[in-house]
This record gives sequence, C-alpha cells and structure tokens, in this order.
Amino acid sequence: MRLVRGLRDHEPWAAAVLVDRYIVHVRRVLMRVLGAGESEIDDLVQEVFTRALAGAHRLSFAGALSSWLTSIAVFTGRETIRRRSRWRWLWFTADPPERPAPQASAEVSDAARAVYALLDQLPIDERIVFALRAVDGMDLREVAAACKVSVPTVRRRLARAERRFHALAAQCESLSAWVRSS
Amino acid sequence: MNEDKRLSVEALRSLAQEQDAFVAQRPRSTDAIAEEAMRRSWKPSRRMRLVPTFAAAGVAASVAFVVAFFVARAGRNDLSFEVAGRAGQAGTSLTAQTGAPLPLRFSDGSVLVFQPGAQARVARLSDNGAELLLDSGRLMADVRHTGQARWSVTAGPFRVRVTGTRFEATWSPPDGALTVAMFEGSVVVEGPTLGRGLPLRGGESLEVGISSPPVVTRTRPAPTVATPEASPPSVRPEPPPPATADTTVTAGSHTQASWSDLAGNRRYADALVAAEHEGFSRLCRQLDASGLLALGDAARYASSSGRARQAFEALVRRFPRDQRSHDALFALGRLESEAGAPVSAAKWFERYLATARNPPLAEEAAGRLVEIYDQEGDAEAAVRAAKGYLDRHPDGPRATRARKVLAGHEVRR
Repeated sequence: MRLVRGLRDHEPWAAAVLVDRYIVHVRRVLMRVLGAGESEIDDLVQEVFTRALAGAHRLSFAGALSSWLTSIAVFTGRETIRRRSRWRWLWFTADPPERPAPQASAEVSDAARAVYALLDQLPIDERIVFALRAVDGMDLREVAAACKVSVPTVRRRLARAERRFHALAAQCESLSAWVRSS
Repeated sequence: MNEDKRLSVEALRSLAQEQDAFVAQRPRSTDAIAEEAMRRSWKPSRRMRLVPTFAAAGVAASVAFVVAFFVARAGRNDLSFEVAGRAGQAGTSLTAQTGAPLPLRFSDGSVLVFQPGAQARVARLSDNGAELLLDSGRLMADVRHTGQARWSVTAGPFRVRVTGTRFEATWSPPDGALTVAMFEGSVVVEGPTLGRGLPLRGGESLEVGISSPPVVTRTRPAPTVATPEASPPSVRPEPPPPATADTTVTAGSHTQASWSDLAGNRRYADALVAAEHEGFSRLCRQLDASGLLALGDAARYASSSGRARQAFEALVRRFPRDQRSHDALFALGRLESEAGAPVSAAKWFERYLATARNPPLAEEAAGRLVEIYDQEGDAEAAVRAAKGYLDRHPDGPRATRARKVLAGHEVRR
C-alpha cells in the first residue's frame, strides 16, 4: 500500500521500487507477446513504465500492481504489432532480422522464430491470447485481466487461435519436426 | 491430434524457458528506467505536445537549414593557426617538450599555450573558433572575445565550452581529473558528473573527476596572464598565482535554487551541485532524517553513489530508530549491489530485514538475499535466505528462484 501511495504522490523511490520489482515481469510479458529476440524490448520496457507512472494516480491497491502492469505491457505489445503490420503494408517488406536470444540453442531459436512467424499470421487479439495462454501458461482469468476482456471472450479467441495455429504449424515442416521432437 | 496438441503445448512452454533466459538479463539499470519514466510521465512536456503540430514545419525548416548550412559553409573562412611560427594543421598531434611551453597563435588573435609535457590536437577549425583535444597536461588559453566565438576544449569525458575568456585547463588521464582555473570571462564545463553543465566565471577554479563530484573554489582574480598584445606567445606566460581561497565551497555557485527545491523538481544533477555548494558534509551533519533521505536519493539519481552512500550512512548513524533509516538501509544495499559488491549489499539487506518487523521492502530485500547468496555460491546462506523468503512470501515474484535453490540443495544432499 505504501508503494501505491508513493506512486500516487510521485515519489521517486516508489518509481524505483516499481521498476526494480516488476522489470522482469514486464520484460517477460513483452517477450511472450512479441517473441524472443525482440530488438526493441528495452525501449518497450521503458514505454511500459512510463505509461504506468503516467497512470499511477488511478491505482487503488497494491494487489493490482502486477496485473495492471501486465495489461499495460500487453497494450504496448499490441501497439508494436500493429505498427509493424502497418510498416509491412507500407513497404511490402519484412522487418529486419531480430537479435537471437542468448543462451538458446540454435534449434530452439529457429523454432521460436518459426512460432512467432506463424503468430504473425493470426489476428492480433487471437495472437495475444494464444501467446499468454499457450506460451506463458497464464490461466484464463489472468489472460482476461491482461487483455481487459471477459473470460468467455478469451475462450472464444483462444479456440480460434489454436485452430489457426495448428493448421499453420502443420504446413510448416521445420516446426512440425520440432514439435514432434519435443 | 490430441497427442500433437499436447506435444505442441510442451514445445511452446520450452519457448517460454528460452525467453526467460533472455529476460533474466538486465541490460539497463533499473534506476535509469525509473528516472526516464519519471521524466517523461510525471513532468509532461509541453514541447512534446507541440511536436505533431509543427512536424511538417520542422521538416521544411530542416531542409532549409541544410541548404543554408552548405551555402554558408562554401563561403566561410576558417581560422588558421601557427605553431612556434609555422603554419599548423588541424588533426596533427602537438607535444610541448619538457622545459618549453608550446604556443599556438590563431588568426583571430586567440592564443593557446601548452605547458611543458602537454599533448593536444586542434581537432577542427571553424570560422569562429576551434575544437581542441587535450590528451594530457596543462593548457593556458586566451580566447579573443568576438561575440560569436565558439571554442571548446575536450579533455577525456569533459568538455569546456568557451566564448571568450582566459583560463587554464589541466587534464590528468590516469586520475581522470580535470582542473579548470578561470582568470577572465566565463566557460561552461560539461561532463559525466556535471549534469547539464557547470558554468564558471572569472576567479573560480573547478576540480572534478570522472566519478567524483565537482568542487569549485572561489579565488581572488589572477593578475593578467600573457595576452597576445602584451606578451607574445613565444614568451612563457607566468603561471597564475596559487589560489588564495576566500571560501572553499562547492560546485554550483551560480545555482539559485536550494538543493531540496531542485530535488523536489527531479533535477537531481542540479540538486547535487547545489548540495555541494551548500556543503554536502555539513548537510549530512545537520539535516533531519527526511532531508537526509531526500539528499541520498538525489545523489543516487544523479549517479553519485559515493555521495548517496554518505547521506544514507549519516541517516542510519544519526537516526537509527527512524522509519526512514530503514529505507536508507535498503538503499545502501542497492548501492552496494549496483557497485558490484554483493557481499556488502547482503549485509545491508540482512540489517534491513532485522531492524524492522515487516518493512515495506521486505520482499525485495529477502529476494535479493536469495539471489546474492545463490550467485556467490554460499549454499548454506542461500538455503537459509530461500527458506526465509518462502516463509514470508510464498507467492512472491522470487518464489520460483527460492524453490530452485532449495531443490538444488536437496539434490546435492
């Protein structure tokens, strides 16, 4: 509660604690939504915390901090995907290759790229729900809170996303092999 | 299909592990992120709101500027200079031999004299000034004031911006120390510990290091040093007399606002300069607990960990029972942790947890202890910290790490 009060009062120590406590969480959510090797991740983390501090006056209790930051990170990730889509539409080109995740085997990194390449083909809302549920393992209520929609809506989106993803994955030979080998 | 789906779920979860390995890295300081977020969100900039409105005008202005720049550049006359009577060339390294100063006379009447042993280069010449790189040693400058003169002396990470003045700059690379002594006019010194730049005026001297705070000494005006008219550069200029300090105070002598006002406005670098001006050590002796905490925070945000440590330690020492001294204990742990001294950090975090029954940052402190002891390979302490963490915070953000520590311990047994 003291942290929330500090944030509402624009206390610098509270901002420092918020970032320190939740930076890993925010990075993780952004990575789930956007994919490993995301080269913009640090800028996006900065953006999430900037938005969080700007909206800190709306905070009421400390228990909501984690889900509140999750929803801001999801919103920021969604904007990034939209921006990329517009970019591709304007320039008819793919994004530059992303930085590979360190400490990952080449096989897994290839698989990660392949998975997120498939997710790029899903509608944004379905993609986000799928990433949070299937990759991160959030439960349906957490996904609903992060996306600010109801649980039934999450279920519907998830069902559609799974159908599309598995259909696309079946056509992707390298991904099928990786899935089988897992 | 179900089997495929189950496998793909497992495969997707393995992606999460890969991502977590990446996430665990912290490429940027969390303080820097917090500071930038505060700057951008808690102090809305009117300028930002105007950007979209004037974006088109900005593009047009930029084009015009580029055209004007090249037109102007085509017709301008850059300064020239002579080294010991011969034409000098920009970019050439210059060394003043032992026992004899090396004078440079510029076409606008400005004179620079490198003292024996100094190494420097004239990096670039323009029509109203020059950029000098002082690699090491002492440089005395008499820059002709023309109203538009733009000179600069770069020494390591510091830069002295000059418009027209007489001053002396000394740069010691091994110590990372810069000294600037002003005789006339004014300069602005920029560098890693100087915030947005520290103005200096005639009669002031600055001593600053890469990681030490600036100290300004006010001295009596120095007698006239060699000027081009009064004394040709070939004559060795008299060194300035030893500084006779009226007051050895601190940097930021031109700052009007108090350090606490500046800190309140989140101008931490300026606040630190002002605090130095008011006497940092004196403030540490006289401020109350609240003031000491604010002073330490200001120093920390201004990236002066030494001063931050001084303020927090004063708070802990002078007000051990005050609630804010608990905050200072945690802050000291963070400072040590950021300074790469995990064992010292752990001592502060242990003390933080031991001092209060349920301090507000207990979860952070307990979690950091788990991480520190685990990273340091102190298995016994790591297990103790992990158990302590899970007792108090079973669902905390570092609970997974704590359980891993305990699981690893069980496996080893």
